[in-house]
Amino acid sequence: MRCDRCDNEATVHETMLVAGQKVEKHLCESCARDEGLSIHPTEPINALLSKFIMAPGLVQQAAGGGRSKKDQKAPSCPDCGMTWMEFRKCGLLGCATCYEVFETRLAPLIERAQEGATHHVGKAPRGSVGLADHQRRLRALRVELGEAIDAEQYEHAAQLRDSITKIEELVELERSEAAKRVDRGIVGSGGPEGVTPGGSGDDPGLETECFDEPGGEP
Amino acid sequence: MSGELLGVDGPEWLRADGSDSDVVMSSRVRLARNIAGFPFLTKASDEDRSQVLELVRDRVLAGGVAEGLLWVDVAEASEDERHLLVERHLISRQHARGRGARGAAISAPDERLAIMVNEEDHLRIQVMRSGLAVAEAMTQIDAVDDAIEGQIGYAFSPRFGYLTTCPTNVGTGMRVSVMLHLPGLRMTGEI
Repeated sequence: MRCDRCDNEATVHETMLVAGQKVEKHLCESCARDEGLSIHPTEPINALLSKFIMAPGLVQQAAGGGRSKKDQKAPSCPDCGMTWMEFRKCGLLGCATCYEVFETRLAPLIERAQEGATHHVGKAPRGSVGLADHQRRLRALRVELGEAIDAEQYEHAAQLRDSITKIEELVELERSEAAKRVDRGIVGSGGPEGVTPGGSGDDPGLETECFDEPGGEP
Repeated sequence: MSGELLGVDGPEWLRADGSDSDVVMSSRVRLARNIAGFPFLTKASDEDRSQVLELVRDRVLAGGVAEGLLWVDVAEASEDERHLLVERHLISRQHARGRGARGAAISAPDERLAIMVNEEDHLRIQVMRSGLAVAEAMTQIDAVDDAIEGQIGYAFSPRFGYLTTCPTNVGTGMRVSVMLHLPGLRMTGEI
């Protein structure tokens, strides 16, 4: 059997159930590696998952291209010195600020890891609950606004738009307040505003994959 | 260290006295957390690592997080001791063979709770229970997480959630797993 992507012999076969439909993939070892499929059946599940999500082909695709000049020119993290190319090599970030610096490039990868979810909706540190709540409300209102426009309920849509504007102003105000607190040296319970990493950037001990779990299981 | 951990009965999760223990050997929940204000371990200097270790050790052992916590300095532990911790699923293999300042706080004698410090993330908190007990493990780990968060600010983003070194863990930083004894499942006709 030939590889789905090239003319080599397919040696890695994957069967997945996607929305109740059976999807089969037949790949050669090289293409399988590129898609993040493991060719080592004894690897721990978390290593498999990381490789699947961080597969070189997919990272390139998610970041909008291959090993392009754009990638090489991507800004490095001002706090820890991590570059996008370095991240692509090791799959690990250097500090909390990296999530802000590489936000647009990371978002598609995270979306894939989270089965399509783009925003955190789970537990949050006590200090940031207000902000997270506002953002959840904003998302719901935006969906409602879209539905109102589709249904040509323009009066309702105008009310929704006003509500969205008010919450956006509130979020902006809370963000600037948080930034002021950091400027005064009061680091709160988390939040990118509360993070002031002081990375040394001199540690060569990068790992090439995520660590495994205690005892490799469960 | 080993003497205190080597209880006669062994870890609680090995006793097979939990719910559905004919099939489910253990349930485990883990949370990945990083401390705000420190670089992740990929970019942490030796000084950063030591500071994280001291901060977590002092705050976690000071009380309020869990009763009867035992501290293990993994960097100083002998190879046999590290091997023992890995076998009991209290630390990962990576943590055992890692480098630099690292440690673990373990609840003794039940060994239900283990907090790895300076593994892939600053903190890897895990709760293990015997049998099928995911809800109980969740309740316990949530309380431990709240208690630590009350003393140490976590790296968090409103968009992405709890920030982790590997972006595949970002969000709740949680992984839930159960260890199944498949021959048991076969015998009971489940598969």
